[in-house]
Amino acid sequence: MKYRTQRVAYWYFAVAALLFLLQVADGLIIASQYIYPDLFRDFFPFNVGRTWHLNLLVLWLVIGFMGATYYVVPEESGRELWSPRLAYLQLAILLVTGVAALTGFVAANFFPSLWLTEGREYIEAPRWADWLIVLAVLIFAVNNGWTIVKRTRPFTATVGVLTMGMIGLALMYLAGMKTFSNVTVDQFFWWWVIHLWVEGTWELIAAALMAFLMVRLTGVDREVVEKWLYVEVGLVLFTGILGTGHHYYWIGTPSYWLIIGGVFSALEPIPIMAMVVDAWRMTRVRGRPHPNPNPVSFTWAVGSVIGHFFGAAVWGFAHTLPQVNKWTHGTQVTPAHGHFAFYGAYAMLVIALTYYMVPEIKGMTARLGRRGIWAFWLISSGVVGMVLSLTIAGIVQVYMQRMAGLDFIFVKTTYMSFWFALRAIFGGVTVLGVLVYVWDLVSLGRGGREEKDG
Amino acid sequence: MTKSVLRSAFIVGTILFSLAFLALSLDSLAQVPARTNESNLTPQVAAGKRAWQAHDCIGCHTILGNGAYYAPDLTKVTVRRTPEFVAGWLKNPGGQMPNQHLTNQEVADLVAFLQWVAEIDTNNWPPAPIGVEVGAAKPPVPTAATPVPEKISATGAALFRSKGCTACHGSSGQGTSSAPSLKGVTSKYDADYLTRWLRNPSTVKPGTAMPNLPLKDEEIAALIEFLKTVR
Repeated sequence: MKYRTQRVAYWYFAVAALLFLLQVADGLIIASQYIYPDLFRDFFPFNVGRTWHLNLLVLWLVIGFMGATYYVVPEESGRELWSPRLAYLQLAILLVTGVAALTGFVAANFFPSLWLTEGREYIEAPRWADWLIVLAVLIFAVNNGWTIVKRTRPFTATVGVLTMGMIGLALMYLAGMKTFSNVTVDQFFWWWVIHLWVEGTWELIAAALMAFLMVRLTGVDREVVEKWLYVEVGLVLFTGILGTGHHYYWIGTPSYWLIIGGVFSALEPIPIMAMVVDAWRMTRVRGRPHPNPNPVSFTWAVGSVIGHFFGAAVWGFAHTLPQVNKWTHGTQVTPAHGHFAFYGAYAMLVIALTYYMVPEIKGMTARLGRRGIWAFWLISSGVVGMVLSLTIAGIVQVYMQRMAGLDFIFVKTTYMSFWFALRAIFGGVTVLGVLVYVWDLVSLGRGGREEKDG
Repeated sequence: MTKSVLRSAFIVGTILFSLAFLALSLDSLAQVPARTNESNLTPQVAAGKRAWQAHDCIGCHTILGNGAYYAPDLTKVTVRRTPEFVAGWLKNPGGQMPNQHLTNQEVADLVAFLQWVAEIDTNNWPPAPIGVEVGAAKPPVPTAATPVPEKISATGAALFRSKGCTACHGSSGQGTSSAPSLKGVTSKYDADYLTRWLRNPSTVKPGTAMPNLPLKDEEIAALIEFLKTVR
């Protein structure tokens, strides 16, 4: 850590880790409801638990990205953050809004109202929560923006791409704040938020943060990394923007999306493959002396590259062509891809950043313990197990419900329940791993204080 | 290539692809009113959509294939069942669905919304199944002990599928984790009891998970004839 104000990142990562734990604990409940539908049915039914699961996911990942940005921007700009106080205020606003919105989702089960839930997945947060989130994002933009303006060093590609991604994330959120009576128009703009987040602007944020991390961890030449960064994010957007078309096959939009969406989403794996090649090349130069030998962060970062490839590129491509998607759309194949891609591309990256930045902030010079590696293998085997279970459940569903025409509930309760049970077991392994991760972070915080004195 | 060349390529390319996407979006939105029969989007349909959101239906179901995958897709539900069936189900849901305590107005609005959704041009999604009906009820075989009026029983077999009985009782009435097996049900209960049960299950057994299906008397008779063949 070079600047004192980078410390604000610590609280962002701490909050993100706790929300992650809450997300997977909630996930275990809803995974169990697949097997025992009556579990908590009166006060915490499946729809509430699922809304929590999605919203906590977005919240902890965005808070993680923001924490990392507060760490990166001072270092890349060569000066202290403009206002650490505002950064803490922003975190408090996000946390209070998040908790209030989650409470509202539970209340909506008893008092259905659009003031408590907008009933549109991922962006259920009602209007008042939307405005509070906008306020927090504005504080974030001003705080980092002013720090960048007052920089003492030349503007770097890393900060440029990161800024572009963050602005894009905020702008796309606005597209989801308005609802339409026409459900087709509603879903049309809803995908501007969801798709152009995860296959657009979030990819920019992730690529920039990965570049920052790789320069620190491997000591690879920054010029080379940043050249590749432009190539990668360029290819991401050239394929991903029109790749939105793979969500416009069946929702009432014109049929030319079948061709445009099919072609461009078939190209979407290319930038991800480029990232794998890039990471492979960077890790080969590890012989050099580098400033922070941090095997735990490095493991998570490499895991993220691999998870991103399998989750987003392989599992995504598997059902993106319209000829296939016609049968798989709306089945368990989609959550299989969703779990794998979110974990690989974003969750693992935020954890890698946490494991790099928290020890730096805490001034720990000693090597990290083995717990972070344990957490890596536990969470990863849990998620991969869940993904494989859901994939098989999805294939069963495609054949029996979609192709053979058997009833949904009949197929779900008779032929898919084994795979749902397996998913819940692997979900338990995931929760265990996240517990180890949170425990490790807590003890890192403590260890840091002791070491600084010595 | 130098970094500045790559940066320019990135910025110019992003602007061009964004403009192409915006142009296609404008064209799509211009075509949506015709493809979704927007002239039939009455205030009642709009109210139905608000009820759909307030009750977070998408937290379990999918619509146009998007949603939670936990409960059936409802894009064509008023065609797959009937609007009357959907209304009856919403008032008194069976199976795994919790009662949403909807007012009659909300039920009518939701049915109007779902009927409007069913008419959206979805490029023929969901596709019709291509396979044979795996496990469909076998044609009834009359035996000496139970002389079966074949035609009525066949009607009953068709009703057994079209009224959605298979959803909980299984494709040939063998039972699932949601509802019991129907094997030998006609020897366990007499026709009179079964008729009362099918007319309105909750009058026979209050609080039962079995929904009240709007069935005509001759449909009930046909279903009972069919049930005699389930074993």
